[in-house]
Amino acid sequence: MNLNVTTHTRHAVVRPEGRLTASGAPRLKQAIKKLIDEGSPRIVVDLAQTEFIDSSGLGALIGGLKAARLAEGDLRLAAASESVKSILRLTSLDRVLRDHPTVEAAFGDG
Amino acid sequence: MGDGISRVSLTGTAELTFVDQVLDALERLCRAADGISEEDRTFFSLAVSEIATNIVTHSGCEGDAEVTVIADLTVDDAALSARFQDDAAPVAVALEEAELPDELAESGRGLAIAKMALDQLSHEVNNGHIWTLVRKRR
Repeated sequence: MNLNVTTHTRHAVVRPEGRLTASGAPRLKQAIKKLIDEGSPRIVVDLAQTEFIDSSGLGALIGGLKAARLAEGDLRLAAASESVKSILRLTSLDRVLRDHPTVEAAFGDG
Repeated sequence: MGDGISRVSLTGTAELTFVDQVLDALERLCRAADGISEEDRTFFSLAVSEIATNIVTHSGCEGDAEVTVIADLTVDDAALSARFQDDAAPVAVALEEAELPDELAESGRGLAIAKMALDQLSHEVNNGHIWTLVRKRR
């Protein structure tokens, strides 16, 4: 898995590319923690290039969501593929990890 | 082959890189087989990832001898199936009790997810562990 991080004025974007599983999940957690520590707790995880996710990847997203909210920010998903969305639905995590059609739409409400 | 069955077998050390190798092999196997639906491929890969990760992370707990894992993946007209065999010290697994934790839990989903994604999941202890995973093709 490759991970790209970009920061903008109102939010930051994290892009995991490839499979988000146990081998890559710790790096995602670290990247999210670093953003929060640096004062960017409004985070979009852009899943457009994420082919697959399992419980390790989901755990990293949940951990990031809790940490972001604790820092008065939020973590939102964008552009998830149908297969990633089907895994979110299977695990009922689509209720807490909401997917948005685009990165721009994720924090479109302000 | 002509019998509608595709198989691949991998042997490796119980490390996370082995999980990636198994998922790569499964992806190639599914691509080569005819007409596997996106949902079957996704959910079976999910179960394989969960069980393989469980094997390599728990076999590390013993701390001493290196553990070897053999993964056999099979796709035929009726089902996608996998068999994992390792030589780790025997540990009981409470498969029946596995269920999804609280939605904000950061871990503890693996076995519950594998059960949900499969039609059959079994675990036996026999000089190590044998896991059998079956998802019938929809």
